Amino acid sequence: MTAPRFGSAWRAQVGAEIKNRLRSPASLVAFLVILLGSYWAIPPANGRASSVSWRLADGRMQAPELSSSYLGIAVSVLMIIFFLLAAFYLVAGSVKRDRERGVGLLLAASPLGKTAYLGAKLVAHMAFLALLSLLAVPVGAFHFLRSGVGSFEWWPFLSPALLVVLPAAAFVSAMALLFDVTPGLRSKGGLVLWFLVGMPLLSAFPATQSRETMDGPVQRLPAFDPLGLVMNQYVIQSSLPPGAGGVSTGYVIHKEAPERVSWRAAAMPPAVVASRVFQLLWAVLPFLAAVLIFDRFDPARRSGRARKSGESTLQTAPESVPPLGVSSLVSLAPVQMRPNLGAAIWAETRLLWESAHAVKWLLLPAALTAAFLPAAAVPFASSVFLLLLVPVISEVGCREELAGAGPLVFSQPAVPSSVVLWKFAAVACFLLAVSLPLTLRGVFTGSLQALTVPLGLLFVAAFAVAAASLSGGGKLFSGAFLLLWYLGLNGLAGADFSGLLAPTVTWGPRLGFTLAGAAWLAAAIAWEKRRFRSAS
Amino acid sequence: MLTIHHLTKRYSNGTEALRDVSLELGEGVLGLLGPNGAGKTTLLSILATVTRPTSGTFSWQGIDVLREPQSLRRSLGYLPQDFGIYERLTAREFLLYLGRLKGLAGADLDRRVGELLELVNLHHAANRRLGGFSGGMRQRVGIAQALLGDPRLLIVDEPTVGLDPEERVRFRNLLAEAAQGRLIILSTHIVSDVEAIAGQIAILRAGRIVALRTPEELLRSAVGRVFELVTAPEHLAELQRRVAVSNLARRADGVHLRFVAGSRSTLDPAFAAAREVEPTLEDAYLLTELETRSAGASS
Repeated sequence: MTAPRFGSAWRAQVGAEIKNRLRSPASLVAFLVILLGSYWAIPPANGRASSVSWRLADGRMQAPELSSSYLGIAVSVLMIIFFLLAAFYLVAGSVKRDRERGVGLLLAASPLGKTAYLGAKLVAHMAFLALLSLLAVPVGAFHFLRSGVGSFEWWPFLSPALLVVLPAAAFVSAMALLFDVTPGLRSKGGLVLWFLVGMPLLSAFPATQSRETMDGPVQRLPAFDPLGLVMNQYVIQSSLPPGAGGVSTGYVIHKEAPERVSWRAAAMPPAVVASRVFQLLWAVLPFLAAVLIFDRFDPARRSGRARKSGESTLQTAPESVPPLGVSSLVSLAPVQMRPNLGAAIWAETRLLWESAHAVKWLLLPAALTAAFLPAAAVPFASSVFLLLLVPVISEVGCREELAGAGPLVFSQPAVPSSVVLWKFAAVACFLLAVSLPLTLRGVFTGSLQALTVPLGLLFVAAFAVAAASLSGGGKLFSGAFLLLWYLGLNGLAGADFSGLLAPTVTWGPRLGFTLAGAAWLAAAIAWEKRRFRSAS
Repeated sequence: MLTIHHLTKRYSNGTEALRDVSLELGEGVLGLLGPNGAGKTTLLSILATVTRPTSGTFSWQGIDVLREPQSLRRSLGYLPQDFGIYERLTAREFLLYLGRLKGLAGADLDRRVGELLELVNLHHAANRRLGGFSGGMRQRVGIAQALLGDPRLLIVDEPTVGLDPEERVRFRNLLAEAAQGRLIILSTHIVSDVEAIAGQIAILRAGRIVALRTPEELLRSAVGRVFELVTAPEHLAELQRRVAVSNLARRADGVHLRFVAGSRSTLDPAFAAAREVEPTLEDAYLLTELETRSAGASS
């Protein structure tokens, strides 16, 4: 047997990673969600929302007509939002999974080096994220075919997306790998940390580097802008009518429909292209750090804290072994079993708390803070509380599947025939308990929130359980929840599922989310029954 | 206690894992033996109400389990072959969780968990997270959870995998003791585990029960059909092709080849010098396998 060459081992790993990812049902769900999300997130030309808008000196608000050039920019804006909010969560955890499922030990015993292993992961992550983000391109083309104006120009349409995709995918993938291999960051706490630190790093930091003031015009291309956020604004700004300013990008909803005007984005100057090539280099830093930190699945190199607490898998010898042949089964005192649904819900609710990451300790302080702050500060404080729920509940609906504990759990007498409903009840109890300060605030202030908060959290419980049960993971829920959270926090009342984020609370969205929660639950129960029948 | 009627399990890919299995079982230990893929784990997972059969029924204490799975679950202790754990929980928290799902509560539950941790020799690690446990320690947690609720039916699938020899003996003794007033179904590849404690042995092959006997009956059926031959190493490969070898040992006087055969009269002349030896249960199991295979080939 000859030693395998680096290239062939690496190619084999890349191939395995990509196949494994593409054959996962969760990927299919992600494709569908991105396609539908992209379609919805590019606003039509006759509404109040736009992807790009600006204000003229006389105060009039303008937005472009649906030309191919504008749709190219709109697609790239969408891609940047995807890379900022969702991409990290779609690829994070892959090294951790290899570690937990024992694949890591097999790889550790193979000639594949850690640079090749992580390099293969990086390429597979990049390919997956690029594929997902570029799904917005055909959606943009579809919008043009449906209601576009002017002739279709390929290069202005495609170039913004092409300039965004590679550096953004490379940087987010490399950061996901770095988080994955770093003890402390590879847990759910790392996912929260990324939200709180990583996202501002990618959005606010480049903005501060390119402007004199935060709301001033872009004056230079910053050295650090891997997502292309500032690059996009720079190009848009160069294409504005004279005297225009106050550029808004994203999914911006205006008080009144903006005036639609003919608009064409400026051609990408060579400086922008060179800047994007340079941005690719930013991925090298986190990747090299990941290679340095990665223990190559060697359990002997676990953290000192784990070793001190005796958690090393190498330390297994019991302190004292009783003499052979002595057993005390007959000496066990008899016990009384009373299996019932209440016991099962209580067990699962407790498990939610016991198995949650350390971020759970922030939940109650966050709810209490939000409850006692003045009304104006409630949306922001509540947003922190809602955000902290994600790592605690996102995988409850598929916990047994992920841990392989199904046979142990589902053979217990208190577990009801519908696991989905059982989990929903447990998550609902948990959410209603931790959100009690917010509900009580509503009661004491006579606000509608006394009803909307519990109702909204019932939707969250239903959606979390159903999405995890249907997709076999927590990412569908996390991604969609974060999107709603983001839109709700940015003032889109229709996305405010809890009635805590938007300045005013109305009943319409409540009804919509309640129905949506019921629909998700019904779909998950139907799927559960179908699986049961096919297993029979 | 447990009556199984014509159980069949066909997976969606067409694989028939169980074919028309019928058994009637009372108190005691049933050892389930069979090659990989024989259907042992499928049978156990159906009996544990985790998987549904394609056809057939089974009843526990006269109650149809497929209609009322709870009737059996209240009496069940189940240790699957492959089971996962929640790595963030400590051993005690994990057992408390499963105890609650069994309907145990309060002081009863706390006491039982403490007793079981002692019993499986994990009391020193009770408050450590399961994520740091070795394979053997995880297996002992699995054994403890199977005993949580005074089970009248204990189903254990490869329970001694990962246990060190001392723990294996301890667990075997525990099962032997537990057999009083209970039905224990033990599936394993380690024939000596079954030999030590099983009152009855069922041999499963290609989804069918091909033998259901006591260990003594199995041993009797192998008398006069197990041989040993001392041979030179260079002849070994040729001889191995002609008989079913149950053991090989290299000694100073040559290679000791232990093998099973239909009878001495059917032996090849190359084995004329072989001497008859006392059969073990492993020999008897191999013989049953051999007979089933040749019966399958001739039909």
